[in-house]
Amino acid sequence: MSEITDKEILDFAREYITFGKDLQGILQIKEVNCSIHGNVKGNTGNIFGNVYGDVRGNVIWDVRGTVDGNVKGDVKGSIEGDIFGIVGGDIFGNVEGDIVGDIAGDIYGIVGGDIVGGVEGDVFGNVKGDVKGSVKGKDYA
Amino acid sequence: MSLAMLKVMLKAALKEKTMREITDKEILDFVKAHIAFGKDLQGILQIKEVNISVVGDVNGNIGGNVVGDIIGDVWGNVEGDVCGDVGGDVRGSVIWDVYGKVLGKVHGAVCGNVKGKDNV
Repeated sequence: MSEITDKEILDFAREYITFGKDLQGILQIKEVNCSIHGNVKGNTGNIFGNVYGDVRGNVIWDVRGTVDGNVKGDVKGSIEGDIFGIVGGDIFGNVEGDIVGDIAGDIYGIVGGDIVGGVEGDVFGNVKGDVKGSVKGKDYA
Repeated sequence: MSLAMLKVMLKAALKEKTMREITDKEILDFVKAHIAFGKDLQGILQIKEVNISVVGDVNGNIGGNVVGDIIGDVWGNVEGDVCGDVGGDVRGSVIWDVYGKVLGKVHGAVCGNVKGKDNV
């Protein structure tokens, strides 16, 4: 910070950051119109760019791109792409692609909708809906 | 003049008014207390860290972590983990695991296992 003058900081702040005051007159950041190269240790509104690290809290609305890591909580909407890892909880909607791994629970209860593609692994629970394709494994019924 | 243009002008005027009411000293003290700056190799000033909430939007990338909630959308990718919930949709893929539930549809494939056990 020693190489940066107050004038530089002030000019930068006035150009790229919008400030406001709350009802108690406390200064706050209303908008940041440039990239932040490190962390944000607080909440934000929309982010019109990428987050290269983690989001340690929740994302209240959508992630319009890809999540390259894990989602440790729930996804309350849909996932329009693929899930390359495990789903530790239930899927209440349809799975329109394949499930390449196993399903450890019941399909009716655990995957609430249809699986439009194939299940390449085993199903350890019950299938309470229709199987429109073939079952090529052992029949334990 | 279109309504959209009028809105932009009104927003700009409001911003100017708000910013006028805040003194240089207030901004400088606030910024020095809550934001870390640095310079890139070309000597251009940049924000290295923000140690306070941003009440509105960030119109750029965040190079590090967000240690808080994002009360809106992320219009790009998240390269790391989302440690909490995603309240809306994920329009792309999830490359690793989802530890919780997916309450909506999965339009693509699930390449791993589905381990749910709590019945609907």
